[in-house]
Amino acid sequence: MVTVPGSENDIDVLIIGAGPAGLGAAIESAGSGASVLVMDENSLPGGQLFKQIHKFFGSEDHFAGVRGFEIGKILLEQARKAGTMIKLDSKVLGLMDDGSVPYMVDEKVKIIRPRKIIIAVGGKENTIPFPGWTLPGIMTAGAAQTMTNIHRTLPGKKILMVGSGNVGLIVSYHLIQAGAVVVGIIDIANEISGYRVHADKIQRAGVPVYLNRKILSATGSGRVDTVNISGDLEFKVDSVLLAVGLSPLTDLARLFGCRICYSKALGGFMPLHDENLLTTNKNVYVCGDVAGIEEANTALDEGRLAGISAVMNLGYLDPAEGTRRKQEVIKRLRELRRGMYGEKRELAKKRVVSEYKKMFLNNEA
Amino acid sequence: MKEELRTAVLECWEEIPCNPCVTACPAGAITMRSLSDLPVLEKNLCTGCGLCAVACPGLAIIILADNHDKLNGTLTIPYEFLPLPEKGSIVTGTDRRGVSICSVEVLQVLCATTFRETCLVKVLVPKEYLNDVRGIKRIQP
Repeated sequence: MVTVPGSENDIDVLIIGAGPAGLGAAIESAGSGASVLVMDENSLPGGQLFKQIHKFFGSEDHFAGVRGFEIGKILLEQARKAGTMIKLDSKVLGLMDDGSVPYMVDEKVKIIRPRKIIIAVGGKENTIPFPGWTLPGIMTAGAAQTMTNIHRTLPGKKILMVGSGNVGLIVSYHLIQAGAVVVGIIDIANEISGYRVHADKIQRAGVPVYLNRKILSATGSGRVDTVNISGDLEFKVDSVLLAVGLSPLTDLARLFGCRICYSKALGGFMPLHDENLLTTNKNVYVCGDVAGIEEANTALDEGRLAGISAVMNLGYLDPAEGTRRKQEVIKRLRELRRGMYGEKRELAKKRVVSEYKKMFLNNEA
Repeated sequence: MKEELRTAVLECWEEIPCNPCVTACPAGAITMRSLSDLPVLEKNLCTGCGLCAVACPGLAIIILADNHDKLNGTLTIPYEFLPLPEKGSIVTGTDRRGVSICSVEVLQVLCATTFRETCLVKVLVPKEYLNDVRGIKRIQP
């Protein structure tokens, strides 16, 4: 049954996803006086923040040195104080021609009519197929992190991690803290791809990292017990975790008619957007991992930028004040995208923005 | 006994956007040109208080004193595993790759609410191993 839309269903800004990007967008937009609703299909807000038990990088503006789950609590509190409404267990289904958004809650379809939409749905973990990969005990690193840090259940006792990016390194550290043995981290690359300090932490704890190796097969009856690795390496394990990158979750953006582009450095296909995170649908913004895989601090600031842009466009912010606030965030984003890891993302983001501009120039011509 | 001369050792190798060590230092001994630059320690200003070691999300800072006595120095290491080592116990000092180096005595275990669950473990280390030991073997529950 579809409920008939009434005025109570009209809202200035609908934010889809209550992770760092969505909450950043909520804090800025609700703080400017707009009516703001954050919707999330999960039962708990915070996105991935509540699984992050390590201290975060960044500056004071990003709560650096505070553990991720505590940052989640702070952001949630700030968003609520700013006047944000948060609707959980609610799944956005699409966008209708008249601009209204159907969503599912308690197995019923309801409708909301937002003036602006901010998609902040994040990314999804990649996997790699190999013989035996469907055996129980083999899962993504993020799934193992949810089990360990949210549900407080170890996925296994003897674990092999596939992938030496920050996710692989950090989740390995969490697992050791929770009492598991990580027998090793393998990577197909010839160097560790995550931050050196994260790698140092895990190596100091005695976890070996094997480079130039790939997983060949997993075997076991009923559950993985043996993994074969290139270079004649074999591990006896009860779990294999895959930390092989993330991709933006583009499904909703596609449904909303946003044009999709491709950026290898940002995780693959993603919605094309301008420097204000506006997509090719003039009422839809994107921010955080859905707008290119980066990390939580960038997601938070991108969310802020999208939030400010949306309410400026609705007239809730004086243009001079809005521009000033945007500049502050842009400056921070530039800082976050510096250095040996950030530079590539800065360049990739610039390419996305210039592709967006080019498209509109071509259309006008 | 003369006073221990403690100083922070920063093992932060890469330009990543991160500066809690700078804001944590009460002496202003750590500076960075911008968020993604490497931190620089002004040794003359450093008192070896250990607040940067607690604040560093990368656990990349230890506090070193090379003059504890004739034969030994001390290392103060950030530690995030349970159970915590006990004061007075002998544990295994490990290097940057987790390889056992030597036995070390635990002199002090510091945990404060403001440390946000990172504790400081101070161990007595023979002088010849002061540049090698960077961790301790985890205590088995």
